[in-house]
Amino acid sequence: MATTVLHKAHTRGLADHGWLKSQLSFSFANYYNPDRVQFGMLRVLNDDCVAPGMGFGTHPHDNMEIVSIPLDGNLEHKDNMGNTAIIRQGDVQVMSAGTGIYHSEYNGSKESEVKFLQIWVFPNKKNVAPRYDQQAMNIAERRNTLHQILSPSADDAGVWIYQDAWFNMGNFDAGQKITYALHKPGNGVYVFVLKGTATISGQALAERDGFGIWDTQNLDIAADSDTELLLMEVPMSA
Amino acid sequence: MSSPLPILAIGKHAQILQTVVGLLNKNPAWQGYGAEDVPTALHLLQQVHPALVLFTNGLCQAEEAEITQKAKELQPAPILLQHYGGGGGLLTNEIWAALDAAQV
Repeated sequence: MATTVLHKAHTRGLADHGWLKSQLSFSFANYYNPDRVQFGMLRVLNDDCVAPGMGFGTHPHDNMEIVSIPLDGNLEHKDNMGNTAIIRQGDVQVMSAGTGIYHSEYNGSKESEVKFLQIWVFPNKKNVAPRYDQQAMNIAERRNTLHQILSPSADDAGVWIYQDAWFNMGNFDAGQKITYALHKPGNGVYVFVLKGTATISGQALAERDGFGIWDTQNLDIAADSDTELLLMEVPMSA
Repeated sequence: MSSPLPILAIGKHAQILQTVVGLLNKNPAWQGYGAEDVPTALHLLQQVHPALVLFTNGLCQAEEAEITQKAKELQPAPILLQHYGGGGGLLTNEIWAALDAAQV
């Protein structure tokens, strides 16, 4: 029997710093809800909106797998490993922070906001050498199917991280149905609805709702309207 | 007004350690201390008797085990926790959660 948790969009934490508006699916910074700390090894899901020309100054990270997915606009990245990059809609950026990394992220546009997801996954290996990668994904390949954007393997599709995690994105026309088979026993899936409405294994979801499901081998996905989904499969325990 | 809670952060990345200690000291309820190596950590355990010990990054298992053993010999023993993320994102959450669990 599957176990589930539902996080309606309006129940997320809100951090409003003026230049940054962040909807927090899990406890982060000064938002602390003991009932909303993590979903298995998925620790952070921040739905960020950065004002034009603004951004995160140079700051450190360690021992965390950090995935950024731009949804609208471009984000400029610089780090102490010499990487300077712009990540755009359709790209996926990953950092294994390991023993320590410093970076900054800015909205390079003077006119438009940038919207992106900031996702942190606990690593399965501590103190690794820091690494950075980004890949451009073909959004057209997500039409009515799930397109893998992240895995544990450098030889598999998408970026990779130090964790037995698989992320998929899909853009579905209304009425489309698909089944997602989990990769590994003990894993769960956190579904985040980016656009539209969907029913996941019987649970109706609206835009920006989050739905976690585990103790199951499959998810039944039905698009109730034109919908965009992010599925994050992660171990439920270390 | 009670005195600030002493918190010892231990990690080998000097800049990150400095950042973490700085973040701790931004909270008037906390007093942050930092140690980059085992001897300094053991010294500060005795000297400041921290309520919490945060393991940040770079310590090998043997070093962490040595510090853990010495920490557990203190009375009362400090709360030991792993810090992930290297900055302000999870730091406050981790400490609040640990204090909640210990009902400090």
